Amino acid sequence: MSLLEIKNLETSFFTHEGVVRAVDDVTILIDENERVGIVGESGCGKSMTAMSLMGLIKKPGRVVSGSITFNGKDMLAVSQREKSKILGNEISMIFQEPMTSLNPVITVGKQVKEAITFHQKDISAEEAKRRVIQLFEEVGIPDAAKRYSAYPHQLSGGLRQRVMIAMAMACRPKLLIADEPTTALDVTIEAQILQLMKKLQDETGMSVMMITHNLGVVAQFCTRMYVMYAGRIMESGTVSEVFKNIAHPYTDGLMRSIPKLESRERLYNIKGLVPNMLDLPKGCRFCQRCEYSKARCFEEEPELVKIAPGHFVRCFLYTDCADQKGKSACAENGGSAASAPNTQAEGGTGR
Amino acid sequence: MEANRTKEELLERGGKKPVREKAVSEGISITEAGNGETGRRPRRLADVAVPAFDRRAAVKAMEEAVLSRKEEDDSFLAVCKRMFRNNKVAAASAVILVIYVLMILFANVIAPYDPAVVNLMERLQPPSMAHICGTDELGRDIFSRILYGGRVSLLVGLVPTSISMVIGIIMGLLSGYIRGLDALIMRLADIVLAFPSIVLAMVVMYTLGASTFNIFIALSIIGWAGTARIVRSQTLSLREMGFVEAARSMGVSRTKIMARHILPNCLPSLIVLFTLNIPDAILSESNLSFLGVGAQPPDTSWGLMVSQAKGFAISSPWMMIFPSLAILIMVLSLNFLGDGLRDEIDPHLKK
Amino acid sequence: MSREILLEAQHLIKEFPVKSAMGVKKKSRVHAVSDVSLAIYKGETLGLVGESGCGKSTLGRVLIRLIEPTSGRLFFEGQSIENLKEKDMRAVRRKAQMIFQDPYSSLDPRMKVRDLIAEPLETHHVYPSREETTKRVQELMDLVGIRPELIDRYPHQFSGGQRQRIGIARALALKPELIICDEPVSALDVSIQSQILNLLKDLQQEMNLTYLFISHDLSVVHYIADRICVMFLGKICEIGDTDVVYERPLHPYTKFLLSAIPKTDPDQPMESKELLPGELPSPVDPPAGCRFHTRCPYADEACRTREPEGRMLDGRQVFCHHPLR
Repeated sequence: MSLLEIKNLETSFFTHEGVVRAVDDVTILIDENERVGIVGESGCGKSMTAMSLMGLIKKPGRVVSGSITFNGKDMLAVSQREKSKILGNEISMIFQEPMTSLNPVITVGKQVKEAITFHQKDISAEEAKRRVIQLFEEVGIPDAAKRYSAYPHQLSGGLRQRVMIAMAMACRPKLLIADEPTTALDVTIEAQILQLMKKLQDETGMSVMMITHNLGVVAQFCTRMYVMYAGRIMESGTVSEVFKNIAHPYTDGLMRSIPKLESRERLYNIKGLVPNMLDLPKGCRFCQRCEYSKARCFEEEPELVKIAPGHFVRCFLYTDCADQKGKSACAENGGSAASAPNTQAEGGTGR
Repeated sequence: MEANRTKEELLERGGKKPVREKAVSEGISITEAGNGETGRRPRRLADVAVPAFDRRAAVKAMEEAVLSRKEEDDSFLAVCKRMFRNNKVAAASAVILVIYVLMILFANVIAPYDPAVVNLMERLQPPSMAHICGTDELGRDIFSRILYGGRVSLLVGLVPTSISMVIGIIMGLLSGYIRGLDALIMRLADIVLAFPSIVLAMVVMYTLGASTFNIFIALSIIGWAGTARIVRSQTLSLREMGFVEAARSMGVSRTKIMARHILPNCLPSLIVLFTLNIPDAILSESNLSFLGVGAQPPDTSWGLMVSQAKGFAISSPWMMIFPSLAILIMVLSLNFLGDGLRDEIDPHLKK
Repeated sequence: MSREILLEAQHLIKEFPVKSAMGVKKKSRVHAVSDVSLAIYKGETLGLVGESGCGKSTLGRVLIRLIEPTSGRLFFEGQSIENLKEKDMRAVRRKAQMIFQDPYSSLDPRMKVRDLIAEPLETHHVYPSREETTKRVQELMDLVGIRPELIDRYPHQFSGGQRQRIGIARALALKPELIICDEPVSALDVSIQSQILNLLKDLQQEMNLTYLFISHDLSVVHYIADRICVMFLGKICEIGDTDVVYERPLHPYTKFLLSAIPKTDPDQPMESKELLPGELPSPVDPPAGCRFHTRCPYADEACRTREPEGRMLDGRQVFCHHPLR
């Protein structure tokens, strides 16, 4: 069993203009000692997935259906008390803007110390302080003992993010959720933080769920990845497989939209805009922007299918082939609503 | 087999290069370069030919549906209509205010008695069919006096408030946007605010003599400073906004920036301020009347009526209750209406 | 180089006074731009890169006197502009426009697209009638890829990418010579970012524009810029042709910046990367000598005491005592 199992999660927001399904039928599995990336553009539901897991969805939103199991416990059913024992202890989270998650009038050392003493009541004050300083050293804060009594605004963005990581690491979590941890930082600092997180992951064997919009961060940091678009998972798989054999037109478009240092070839443009979540297309959510879309894509939505070991894609380009394995051709099959293949069915590889 | 087919298709289509087009999609169009489509492409997707399907028509049909739905009118009438639809309290307030104004304007038609005629036979009558709000200590009909007194109160509420707000807005804008004038205008405002407003008004009234017109002047002089301070603080934060800098970069003059960018963005709070200032002015007028420098008998005003009733508050409470109610309902309606209008006008709050 | 210089800055300095908590001016100053000299040639894109707080945005604004320089000289089309009165600056403003980073705050929320794009036209009285102005506004909307039917919408009805297009239409309205792009794509999603970058490239070709492209993203600058200027703490490190600088950076800072970019290739693990240690020093109290020496692994005594002079090497200007070979 995986450490974290999010299955068929649906989180919706009930606004007066209509229901927004921010997360729609999302299944994410994270094993122990794994670095999993969740990539997507703003509004694709990647943060909402993490918020659902942490139980941070506020009105008018709520988790409508699906299950979230962490370490064998049903996170949607556990009592508030039990949840507060798990969060911050076994699961901890770091955010994009560390300044807003730190209390400006309490020294950073005290804040990290509180995180420790909250979950370990029997620890003595000196012992806790010693641990904090040790943690600060671990996350590479220079002059750790001196920084203990610094206030958040006296630290630079990079150091604040290190403090946040120290706080998240305080109780040796099994799962660390990082929501765009390096987006607000400069490149040189971003590289430092990523290297640090990788080192800590290696040493402690925890799992990391890295939520980001940056495919570069995923490529460099993660072992497995999920690509989200408009609330759905479009493609998933191991990072090496997905980056080598990009299957979904959206992932492909994203990759080719990124300026690269190796070439100055004209950048590819994904046409149009992310659809309004209130006006989602009837068929595939990417159909309007996809250069491969055909009539069927506008009518019905494809399922996630396996196209290679550990590589799943939600696109008719592959299901049609998997569907008609052994038949003459994988021709376009307009309106025929052939029975959709089962999710994760063992099918042809779509080659 | 699949490979064969796609190869054929590629041969078929490969020669055709996409025409440079301004594809209108999703409300935006993207200018494509002549051969931007033939970039690097991962293996699997490269094997897939672009299907023959009029995607643009399908996309366009979907967009039209979305576009037609979102059209929104922003004329003042439309804003009012929306407010009536969305905010029942504000709508009711608007209706009440209209009835108020009509009744006061047509006081000479509606009023059952002459407000100034003394009838000692009928003094201190409680409400009855003949006198629906009772009579005062000189036997004058209170309902008629409320209607006629409303003329003075409404004028005193509207005119000096308007004048003082215009002065206050100009002073506030100048003070907030032009650094050199800030200290001068703010010290002037401090002087006005340092005096108890009633004392200042009395000084003005004694100097100019008691009359309705002079009340306007007195109340305008004491009223502007508060508005100026609020406008100044808003201006200070608005001048740092990106759009003000953008206007400056285009060479827009200071006067125009203040009039076109800063003032309209202060509007929501100014509307609320206006609805709060009107009752203030009505109450100040009643204070002045009480001190003998306000409305002069036989003219009356709501404030004057309330202050005259205070000797009879226990024995003939109707004398105080009805004019007070007149003030209260007006003040509340104005407040609700102001809030409702602000919510509808403010594009930040709309969503 | 025989190209024509459009905008030139000589020994430009901008210092901001530091206010203490009580609002009293203290003696210390933020050295945002320290003695910067550069030239922007007609028709080129000059990329200005650096980390946050290096003064690149301030420099962009000082160049067109949106912020007044503390000292130094500015020339626009050969004319000295640093002492022009605001009234005379209007002619320059017409030729030098700006695109801003935040597409949300740079458009007045109370104005319709029609008025937003018409504002520069009306300010400079380009067209005598309202109809002609509206026609031009629609042309501009079409040019940047927004449906002209949407002319009566408010900015909040558009997404970030579309707003940035409106911002670009505004900047183009007066047919300027120079456009200063201050991080125009930093706030946008990847797929929208590439749309805007391509749009900017197309427009440059079509209208023969000159760009000063300010960004912290080296890949973006590499894509769009002909020449690149790397800044660190208010000073220029290296300035030269993009290809030359990216291929063989001479300043250590440029090298570390380039190697820090997360590559979209899982086969290049980052553990092997050599990273730049430490954090940005405070611009209030910049290090003496070379400003980069506190983070530079190659620094020696000369770097700590003497400020490096600019020198030409391999066809570019480098400000370093020990340029990499």
